[in-house]
Amino acid sequence: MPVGAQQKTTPAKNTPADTVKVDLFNGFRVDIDAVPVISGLLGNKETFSYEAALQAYIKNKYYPVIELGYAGANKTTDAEANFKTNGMFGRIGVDINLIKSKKGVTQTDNMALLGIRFGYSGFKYTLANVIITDDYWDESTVHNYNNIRSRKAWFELSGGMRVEISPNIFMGWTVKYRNLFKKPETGTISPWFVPGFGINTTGTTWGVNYCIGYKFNFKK
Amino acid sequence: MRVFKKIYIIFVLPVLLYSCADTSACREETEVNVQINFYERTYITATKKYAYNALTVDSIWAKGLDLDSFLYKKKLDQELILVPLRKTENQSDFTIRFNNTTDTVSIFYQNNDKFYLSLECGCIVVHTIDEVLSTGHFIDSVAVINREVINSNAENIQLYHF
Repeated sequence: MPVGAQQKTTPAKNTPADTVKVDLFNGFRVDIDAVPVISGLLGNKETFSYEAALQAYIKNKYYPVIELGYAGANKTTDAEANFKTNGMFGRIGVDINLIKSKKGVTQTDNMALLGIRFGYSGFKYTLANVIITDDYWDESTVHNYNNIRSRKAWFELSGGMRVEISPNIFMGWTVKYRNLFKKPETGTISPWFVPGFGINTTGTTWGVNYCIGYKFNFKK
Repeated sequence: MRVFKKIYIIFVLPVLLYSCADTSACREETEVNVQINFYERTYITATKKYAYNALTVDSIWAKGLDLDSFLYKKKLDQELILVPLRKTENQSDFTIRFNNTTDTVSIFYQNNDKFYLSLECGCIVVHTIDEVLSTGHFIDSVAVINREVINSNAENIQLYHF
């Protein structure tokens, strides 16, 4: 089948009627995250995150995935403190498809996915104009922390779905629960935003991807 | 297919709401005060030991030495006071008037001005008390029971009155 053609899995000839033959490798899909576009249109100027994913189809059940992206933040608080960062990030993991092949029925490529990810980002950040004031004693000091190096690793539990809206073109969403391996310690400076992880106040956060993807088939 | 489409359309809404979340305001406690509690010390002859009971002072005034602004001004029925330490010095002096008797309390400490709370709340200055001295008009003696002064109220110093 040429690249770009829709994949259908049907019961193979000369096999028992109640079994479905599925190839080991069924192609791969490239996803682009549309959330930054939606977020930008809504006026979010504080953070951005662009990412793409490459997901392989193994026996139409297991979906190893690599996600790469570039994200950053520039946030000024009500107290005029400013946080800036940007950097690359990567995630690696696997999804499983909860939709099972029905015996003797043509299978679609729609997927209900559950998965795990391991994420990592190495980046620098700046925390500027942190003002400490004392109204009673009439004292104030300003702190600036420039180019602080940071490395963060986390794991994610994800759930989502992909729907084939036209041959080989997929849309869908993924919701992710992210958890840093090492939580921010009380009293120590930590980045407000971690590329690929998101806003980091407690060491856990939720993330959402809304993806548009194209599947490349490699079927004999 | 129709069900799948409905579900993923529904999930556009959380994406929009997620993008609009406002997290600019500080919602943590940033005040750092020393808590000073008052006690009455009485000698029990039977046991030959001192007994300490919480003391309620009828009226109290408190302010930084040489400052005009009062932290407490004729505040009635106080068992304790909360006072802020200077953040750029290692000594703070307070004038405390108990009813009609005035004492001066000097607190010596170390500052840590890099105690980070969050981006929204910034840093606070926390203190470690070294020593407390006082004049002895109303106050008999003082004791430091918790040297770490942070942004949660806890008893740091006990002032004893006969």
